[in-house]
Amino acid sequence: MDALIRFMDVVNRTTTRIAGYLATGLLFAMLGVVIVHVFYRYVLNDSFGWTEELSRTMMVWMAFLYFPTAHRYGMNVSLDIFIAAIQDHPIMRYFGLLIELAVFVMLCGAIWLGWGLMSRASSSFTLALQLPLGYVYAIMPVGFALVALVSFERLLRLVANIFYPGRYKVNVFGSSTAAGG
Amino acid sequence: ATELNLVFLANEDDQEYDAALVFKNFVEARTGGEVTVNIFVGAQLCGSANECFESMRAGVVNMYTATAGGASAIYPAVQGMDIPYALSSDRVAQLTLQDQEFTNFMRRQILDSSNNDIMLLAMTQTGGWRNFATRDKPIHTPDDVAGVRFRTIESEIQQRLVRSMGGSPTPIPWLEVYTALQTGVVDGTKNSISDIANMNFQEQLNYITLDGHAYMASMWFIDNATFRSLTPEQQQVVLDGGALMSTIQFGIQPRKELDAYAKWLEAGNEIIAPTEEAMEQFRSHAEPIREWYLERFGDAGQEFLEAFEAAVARSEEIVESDRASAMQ
Amino acid sequence: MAFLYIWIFLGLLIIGTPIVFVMLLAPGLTLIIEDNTRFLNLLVQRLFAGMDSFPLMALPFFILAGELMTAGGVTSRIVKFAETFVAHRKAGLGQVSVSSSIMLAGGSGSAVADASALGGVMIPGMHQAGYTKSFSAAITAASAVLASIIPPSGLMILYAFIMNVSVAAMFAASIIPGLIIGFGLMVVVAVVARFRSFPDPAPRADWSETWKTGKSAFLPLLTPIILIGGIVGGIFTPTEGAAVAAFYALILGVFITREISLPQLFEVFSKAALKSAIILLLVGAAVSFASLVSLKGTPQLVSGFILNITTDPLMLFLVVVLFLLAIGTIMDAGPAILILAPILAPVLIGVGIHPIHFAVVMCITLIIGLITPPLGLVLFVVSGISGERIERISWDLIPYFLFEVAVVVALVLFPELVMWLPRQLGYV
Ligand code: NA
Ligand code: NA
Repeated sequence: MDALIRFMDVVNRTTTRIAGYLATGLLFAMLGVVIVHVFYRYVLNDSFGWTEELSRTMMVWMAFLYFPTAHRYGMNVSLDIFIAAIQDHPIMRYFGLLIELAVFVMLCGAIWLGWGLMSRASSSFTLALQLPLGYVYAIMPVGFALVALVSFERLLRLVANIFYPGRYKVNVFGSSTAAGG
Repeated sequence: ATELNLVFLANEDDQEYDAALVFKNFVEARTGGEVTVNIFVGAQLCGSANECFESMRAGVVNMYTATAGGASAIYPAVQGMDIPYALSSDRVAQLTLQDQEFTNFMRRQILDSSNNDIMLLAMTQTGGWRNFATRDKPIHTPDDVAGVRFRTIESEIQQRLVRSMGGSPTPIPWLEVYTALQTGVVDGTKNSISDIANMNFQEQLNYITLDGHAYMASMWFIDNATFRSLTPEQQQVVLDGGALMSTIQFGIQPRKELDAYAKWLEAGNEIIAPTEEAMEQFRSHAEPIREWYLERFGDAGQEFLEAFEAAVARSEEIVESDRASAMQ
Repeated sequence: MAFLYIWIFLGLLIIGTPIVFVMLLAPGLTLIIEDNTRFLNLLVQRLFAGMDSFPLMALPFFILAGELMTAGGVTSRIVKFAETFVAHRKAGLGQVSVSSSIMLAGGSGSAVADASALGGVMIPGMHQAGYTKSFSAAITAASAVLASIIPPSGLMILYAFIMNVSVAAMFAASIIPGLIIGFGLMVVVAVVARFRSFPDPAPRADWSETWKTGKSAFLPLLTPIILIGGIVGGIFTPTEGAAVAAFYALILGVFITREISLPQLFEVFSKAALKSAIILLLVGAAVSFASLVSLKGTPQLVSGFILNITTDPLMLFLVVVLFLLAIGTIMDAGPAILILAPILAPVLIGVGIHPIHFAVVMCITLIIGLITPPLGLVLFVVSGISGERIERISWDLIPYFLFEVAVVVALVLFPELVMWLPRQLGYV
């Protein structure tokens, strides 16, 4: 168990870091594309036909690529005021495990559904760049798979914590201070 | 019983809604309620042509209507329908889009290119003709387009037309067009009078030039798996219902345009009818786009244009012979 | 069983499941239980499509602009400038906090980000000058909400996106309410100062000081002018304006103030991308969730229920505001907008309330929820920075909170406060 958790830890630390670099690069690229677009239109009175489509796609990819990081570090928003008082009660360990199990099963389903969507879309094309839509949708199975890996590791840690309470660090519940504002 | 989820991305004021209501009533009545139709208005189940086609493949959406631009997601060569000035009048347009040989051709192409997932039910129109509409500069001839920033969709043909006349095509998302016109991010738009009135663009625009550079053809699709699962009698009813929707949309358009033009004139705006001479000039910009299209889409494009232009020729002949028989 | 998905939704929500998963699991489980599995495709598809929008892209760009301005040292420059105007008044640093917030709000789109940027500068400074921690934290929190009210505002972009209304119209409509709250807060601070003892104010700054600090705050203060000028002047759309604001903040931080080094620049982008991703995924999941909500005909059911209470538009509006204030105490504004706007807006629009009027009131009401316990993100941030307990800060927050609620009620009663400006600009 220990060895498996350590292994998953290495895997996920590496994949989330690489995915995070890619996502950050995409934000750079999005900014570049839109700025160049405004410059061309306003200063040179000319436009590209594909900047909107490209930057939109990059934004969706960016979100999916940071999905595993958000889950790994428990940064997704949750409503935790109802459980705040009993957060340290032993029963919450089972609750946490249950939630993570549901999330993991859902993610596995999502990989499968995303894969189906990607395969079905392979004969369609985007309007502006005429890219095969399958490539665009590829981020779904990939993104869900990366989150599922993260979820699997959290699952292992949560199971281990039932037998050895407090042995593994894991943010059971999401954060209440991430999004919004 | 089979349920058909019918989706269109417009709203309840649009002609698709009238068509859908009639289709629902027709199909439910003729199949004795064995086939029921659920109408979903707007982006409740899917929000773009690409997404809706994927939902059809997943069996979630069973019927959907798209313009030629939207349909190019599954059958790219259909963009040839948007080659400027390809159709000369409403009458020819309707005959062409209801031409049986052309419909058969399109049905086959769409089944082929969608891996037999999506079937064309019927072709019709949504909103009439695209025209040049501007805020400050009246467009009398193609030369007037020079230097004007026109909002276009992200389609190469639309952009080439504007560029070929010396204007600057600017893709703006549909919901941002009003503000873009108001602030001057763009100086004009290429839309049908119905779309202009629906979105209240007449408040920001002053001139519309009836050059009719594109006819807004549209198509009703059904997911093939569901269609095949129907009994032959039910299939017939659905097909007849599709034909009915097509006719309804052709019929309602001129009536809706009356209100749209009234709104336009009420706003104190001008309507410019180009002279025949100016129309010649406008039309001269079509040929290079046609050539580009053939180069871009290769054999598929060639095949499409042959079928399309043959249908146009047949339709023009019908119109001519009808006129001749009455006027002899 | 029609409401099965709502029970699953509430159950998962209450036990602390991250909301992004709640909004996918609740419809997913419902479809499986109902043996309607082909609709599962819809959820995944809508998750993608929900994020795939150009107007929505204003969100990551404004988040980026805010991060760049914070890293670029913009906050402290603006605070120093504000000090030269109001620091000599009674409770002067409280006034500095509010006026800095007003100025910062024109460039920043997030109350939470502003609370941490401004709190980081103001709270230690005020404490040093002899103000109590709880007052410093409270006034920072009360004024930080302006960042989400005065345009640009990430939350208004969310609303505009999910409800298909014009971002520009919402921005124009929230300028006057934002300024009323901003300047009103300064009055409330002055009133509070009459009843409580505060440290002696600083001596009045002379004009050379104002000039000096003004010069260093000048370029950051241009951001809202570039943004509004660019949008109204037809140089760019609101989304593109967000990109231009981010780009401007980048140039400022890297080349003008030179407070952002290249490795830091990467950090800033990385942080902005992560924050954006979390919100975007929430948006996508909300769009998935909303598709089941409409398949089930829920809005009609809810509107029937609400209209049973009252059909008088004004009463209805006030009831909804009360409900949103209650929701705001326990829920973050972003998810609340994404989940509730599609359900509530049609009801109020149905009784004749203008969509933009409702949009702005709903957003401001939920934004005020950011400073109410038990769950208030802005409250958490200032509590974290000051090290003061939530309860004590909340106690000090009461006058400002009551004032902000009073403004919301005024916005309901006098629609022109919201609608006048967008109408003048021709947006509605
Ligand atoms: Na702001
Ligand atoms: Na709260």
